Amino acid sequence: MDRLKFTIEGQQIPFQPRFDKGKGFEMIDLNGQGIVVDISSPLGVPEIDFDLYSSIALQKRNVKESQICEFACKKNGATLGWLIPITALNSVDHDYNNNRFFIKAAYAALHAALDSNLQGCSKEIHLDNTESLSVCDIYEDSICFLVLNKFQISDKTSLDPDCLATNLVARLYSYGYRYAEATILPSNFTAKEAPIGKVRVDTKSGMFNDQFIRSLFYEILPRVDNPIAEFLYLYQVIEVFIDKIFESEFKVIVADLKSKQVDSFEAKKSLSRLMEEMTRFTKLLNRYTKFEHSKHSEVLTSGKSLLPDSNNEQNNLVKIVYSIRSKLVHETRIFHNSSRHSELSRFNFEFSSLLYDIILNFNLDEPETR
Amino acid sequence: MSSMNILHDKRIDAYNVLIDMKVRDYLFIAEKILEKNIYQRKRVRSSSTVYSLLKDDLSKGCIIPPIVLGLTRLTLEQLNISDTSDPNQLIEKLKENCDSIVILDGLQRTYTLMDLEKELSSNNNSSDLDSYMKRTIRLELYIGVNKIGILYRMLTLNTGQTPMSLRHQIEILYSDLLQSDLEDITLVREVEESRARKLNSYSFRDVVEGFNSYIERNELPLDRADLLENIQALESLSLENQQRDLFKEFVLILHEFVLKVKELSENWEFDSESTQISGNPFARTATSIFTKSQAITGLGAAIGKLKEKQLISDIGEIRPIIADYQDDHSIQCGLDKMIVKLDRIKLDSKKIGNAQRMFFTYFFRELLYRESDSFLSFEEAVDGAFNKYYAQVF
Repeated sequence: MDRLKFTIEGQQIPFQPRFDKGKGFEMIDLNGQGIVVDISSPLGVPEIDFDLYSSIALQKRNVKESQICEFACKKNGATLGWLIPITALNSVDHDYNNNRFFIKAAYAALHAALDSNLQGCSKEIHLDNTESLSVCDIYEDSICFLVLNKFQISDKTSLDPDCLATNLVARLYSYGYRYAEATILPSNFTAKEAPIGKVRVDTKSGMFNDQFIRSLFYEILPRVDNPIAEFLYLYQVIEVFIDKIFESEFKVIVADLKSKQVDSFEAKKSLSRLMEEMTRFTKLLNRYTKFEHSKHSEVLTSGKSLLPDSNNEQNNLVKIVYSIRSKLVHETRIFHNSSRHSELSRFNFEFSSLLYDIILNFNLDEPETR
Repeated sequence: MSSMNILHDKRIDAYNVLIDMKVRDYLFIAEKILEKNIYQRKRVRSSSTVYSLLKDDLSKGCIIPPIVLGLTRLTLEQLNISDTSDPNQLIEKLKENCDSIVILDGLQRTYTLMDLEKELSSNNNSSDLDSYMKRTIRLELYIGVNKIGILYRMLTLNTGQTPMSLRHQIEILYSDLLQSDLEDITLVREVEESRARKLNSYSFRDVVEGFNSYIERNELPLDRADLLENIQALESLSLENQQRDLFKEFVLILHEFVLKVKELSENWEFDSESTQISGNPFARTATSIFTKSQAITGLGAAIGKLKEKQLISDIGEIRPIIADYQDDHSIQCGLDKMIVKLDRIKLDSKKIGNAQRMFFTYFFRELLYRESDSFLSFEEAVDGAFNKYYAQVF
């Protein structure tokens, strides 16, 4: 584990946190010099079992201290986790300073922040004259923590906490939050206003356990700062699902042919249609996922602004997205200017929100549509 | 033979006494100082290299530079000493008045002296310990110096070393006010803050921050990177009248303002039905608005900025303005509006506390500056402050 290091007389010394029920956190040096640094927080020290929590660091440009979010189970309202800006860990100016559940989550976040070094997000600390530090002294203000209550998740849902974590990381992506470690925050960042307060979460597992989906949100996208590359990676989610649709429906065609339910001519026609990407994409949205398409009207709006010369049916989500994909693949050069980058960034936020619903709701076993 | 030398420091109007002292006597005094003054800076979180070298050198009998102490409550006359007095007489007086002494320079050397004492004690080598305790060190003692003078001297002494924040130095210096009444005002420590909301009680920490903001002319708490800004604070301090107790004046201004708003607003309280906001209000009473840290630092920074821009010549001009503040019928509406604006700031800011501090700084500048359009008009001052805050931030 990569520990936080503080500089003393030019020498970098690793530290680890120690929690005292009365005092809160302090950092102790791992070189055995007996150096102890208090970690200050104005939040009262709770009674807490850190093993009940897991925390993930995210990063968002211009995150506001009030953007604290309590994630609750859609079915039963149980609190499953929190999204906490780092500035809120060192403040009592927000509305949650007296909420004991928030305070526990905040200390779990502090523990995560102090227990390992979030690469690329920590500041250099010279400790020569320091008696105490706050977590905001150590890390950039853009850091937020997604804190999950593992006990609540297993008690109130049938989900694996990692699956819920990926669900939330993917959901928050469209609001500009990026998995923090090694994140590059894009310069033309125009994220939507982040959710605040109590937010209900659909706890279906969806496809959040898929290895590629996990890699996409934890490894690939956080390192991408070009909106063209970002779009192409996001579009891979569509590719993953339409591949699954192809495999599934291809088996049905072959089976039907074998059982002579269709003749070879019909089978060939079905196969030809299935091989068209647009067809599979349409099936993905209309047959294999169930959610309100109307809530993604911004995909249409922002998509249209990227395709001003196009006269195709602009109220069709599939056609808009597919047109942008084709444009980017074949005419990448026309997107190489900053205003187009900014428009594409905005579209990507909306597109990622659509993808979230696809990942959450994708189901190959929808009987009535087959 | 032990001797004493007294010089007058005209800059801060204090006497500087150079005196030799046995390690034993100094450690007696130092332990009391560190025990009584919780704000006296703790030891540096340093790796052992420098101070262990110093400890080795001390054990070999090296001479260290004079440690500098400040004696805040007693004058030279009260101590009844002169160049020709017996130094032991002064040393005994110091031992009796440890709670009035602060270590201005040499705290880390003091810790090293203590470490060596512990080490020799634990080695059971009484002859080494005895000879160490009988060794002589030099001290400089500032006597009869007022606290602003000490602050100035602390900053000058510490400049160039590992910096200590101005705020921390103010805490050290004024911690004695925790034990005594400031007219009818009580300052309480953090641990006692639940009791701080009596009308005449203020959080010591918040008031220190407010006074710090006055001297810094800046409402924002300093972050670590800004510690070297002490140089700027030094410039500001050098412009202050060092004969007066500015800290006390600041506390009295704050208290007078709190009482005035309470009176003029007829004990205004937040009404959730008439005032729509997103969450919890900033505060629920007029008094609690202005006893919060954001308002106190805003007040300090506003007065500091008025002084810096030479819009007032002295902090003493503010109390009469507050005393003259009468018949402001806008104050209840203004307080409602203030809560709404503070709520808006809470939602929009990266750091709520800092943003609200900025708002209060503008508010007090609007309200208390004679040439301002909003002079002594609460509601207009709220509007003006919010507009300025918004223009500055967005």
